[in-house]
Amino acid sequence: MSATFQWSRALSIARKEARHIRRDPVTLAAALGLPVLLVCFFGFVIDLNVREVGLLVADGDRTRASRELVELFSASGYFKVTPAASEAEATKALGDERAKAALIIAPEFERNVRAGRPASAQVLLDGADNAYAGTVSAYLSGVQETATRRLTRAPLPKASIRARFLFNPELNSKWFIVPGIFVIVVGLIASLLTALTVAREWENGSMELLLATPVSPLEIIFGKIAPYLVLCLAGVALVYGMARIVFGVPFVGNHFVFFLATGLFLAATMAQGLVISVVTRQQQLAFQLAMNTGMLPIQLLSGFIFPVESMTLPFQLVTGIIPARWYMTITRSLFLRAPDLAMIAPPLAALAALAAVFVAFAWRKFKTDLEP
Amino acid sequence: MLATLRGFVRKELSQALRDPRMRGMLFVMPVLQLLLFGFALSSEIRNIRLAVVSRPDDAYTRRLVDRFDSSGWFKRADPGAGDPFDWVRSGRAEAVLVAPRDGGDHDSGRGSAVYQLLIDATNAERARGVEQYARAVLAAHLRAEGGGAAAPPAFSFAVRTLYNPEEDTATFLVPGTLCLLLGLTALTFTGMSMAREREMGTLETLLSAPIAPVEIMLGKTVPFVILGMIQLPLVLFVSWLMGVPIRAPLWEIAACAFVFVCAAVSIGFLIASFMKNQQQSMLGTFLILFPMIQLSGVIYPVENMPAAIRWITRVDPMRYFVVLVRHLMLKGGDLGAVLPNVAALIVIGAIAWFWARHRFHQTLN
Repeated sequence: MSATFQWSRALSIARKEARHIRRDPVTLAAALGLPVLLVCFFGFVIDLNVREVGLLVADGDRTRASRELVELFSASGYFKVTPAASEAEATKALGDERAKAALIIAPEFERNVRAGRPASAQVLLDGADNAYAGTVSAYLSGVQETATRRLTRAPLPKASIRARFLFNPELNSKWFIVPGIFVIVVGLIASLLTALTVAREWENGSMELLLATPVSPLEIIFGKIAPYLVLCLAGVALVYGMARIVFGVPFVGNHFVFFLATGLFLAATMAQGLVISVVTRQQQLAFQLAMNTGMLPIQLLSGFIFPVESMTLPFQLVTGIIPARWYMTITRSLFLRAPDLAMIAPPLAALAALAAVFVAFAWRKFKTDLEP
Repeated sequence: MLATLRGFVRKELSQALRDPRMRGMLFVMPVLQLLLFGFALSSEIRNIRLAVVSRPDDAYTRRLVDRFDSSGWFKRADPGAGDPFDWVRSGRAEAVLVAPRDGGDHDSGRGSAVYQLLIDATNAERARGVEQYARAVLAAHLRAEGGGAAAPPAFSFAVRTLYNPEEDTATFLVPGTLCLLLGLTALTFTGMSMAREREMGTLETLLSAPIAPVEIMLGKTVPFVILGMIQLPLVLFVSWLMGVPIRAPLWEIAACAFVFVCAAVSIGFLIASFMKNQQQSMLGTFLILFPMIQLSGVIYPVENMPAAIRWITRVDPMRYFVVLVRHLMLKGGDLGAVLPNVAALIVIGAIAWFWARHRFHQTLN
């Protein structure tokens, strides 16, 4: 075994692998078709804008003021109001999974409002459904402001905030979801593809044969990853086109930086897949390990829905080993705002470092296998 | 029949449990992930990097900004000189509070001071939260300015989050992720085991042995139901350690989990029956599992999905199980709410089982 890295040997492995991919419709479909399909489907499915949310209303006051308040909810377009007989009935409906939110107006409501006393209405949320409770409570502050203006004769506040949402003025949730789900789908598929193909080689013994040749482990690693990287880059290009054309997501950043980041991200995830395959050396195990370590962390810890910035520092550091977490910040900002290179450099460096660490780890595992 | 089944169970369990890597995947990974998600994730928004543009002599704005600083949600960013829009674009600040040109002192004295808040909406959800928190800070500021903190607002909502009044994130997230973890194991283990037998040709051997097909089917599914059910007490214990309440009787949780795991294992077996080798089986499992998780209601609310998709979620067993586990852990076991969901799981599981059996018999002929 020679210690030096020779391009000719690495490239001939890559050529063989490329030929292999060309003949395998399943791999081709998985790398090119699957990302487009999944991103398209979930781009349509996932909608974080609340609309027509069921709201039970127990109006114990039944006055003009209370009706006006209920009207505010139904007119906002976010809520679909259903009357309930009493507070007890509303609470019971929440317990029985028949409703997720309720508005309770106490009998003294109008009298308090008219007299200028502080008035309040109670909102009950089903705390068992975190996703739902979060979205609804975010809308309440808007309703509260309008209600204060419309119902009470309180003097205008001395100061107010006018919010301007930059880069996504209408808070279109597609612009936020599509670049995110794209990272997740591509990341999962890239690591699965490499983990599985290399694990298969271990399983049927062809990797042993390869190691018996003068090819060095690093050349094997390069030869195995490069063709899949090119393939997945093509997959990314398709998804990119779809995000722009089908979902109308703007792209204001630098395409070269995007290309560079995508290459680094794919290299890091594929090296991760390689590590999995070297550790397991069996398809079944490799798949289970890839799914168990990848499926949920990549969706929950990458900042896709739960922002990494909101986590406490130790957990922010933990998310650092997930390549998708870095790529997520890069893509989101490249699509919608054109960030300075200085702000993009740290995540880019992190991706490069992760790729290097994973490759080094896989390489060492290869080497220990060779030494008796 | 029982002896054959026992043999299968012993073989599959020892195969799964003797490999330390497999044991790690079955027992360590779920615990680790549950802890990680329960403690790390939060629906609260923190560390918002806020920059401020105001006149140096503006005391009113300074008091407002002090309140932003002490709120715990905002962190001051100092982007240097330049255009506020550019600070947000370049990523040097996430939000910029621009005081009125004449200063907060002047405008608030005359009537109303309008502060502009530029928010980076690249993450639309976080942006909405930033606006909400900023309004809350301003409201507190106005109350303090207008005669002490005691004066309550003229109109307000008293929001009560039932079953999780402290809005504890672990309580919010653990029941849902627990469901995902159980489903993940049940599905991946069954599908792969079957595909492996097929690829290695050992399925042929099994089929030519004097065992009834239904025995083979049971033999390739029952062990994975057992594995899933071994995981259950472990993850429940960890949830309890994390302070998540478990309000329903344990037998009720175990019964519901059993029905779900059976349904998931049947689906895994059904997927495997369509696949020729392990690679296909893995892609198939991924293609089913990924949407199952997405549509389960743990990550995004099902209520927000388009009507057609909401209809599709009805065939997702995970969706029913998520409702069940949340209900059982946080609300207690009210049978009226539990039974319809269990019934749905039974129907889905039965369809998957009989379909798989039909396909399995076909391969025999």
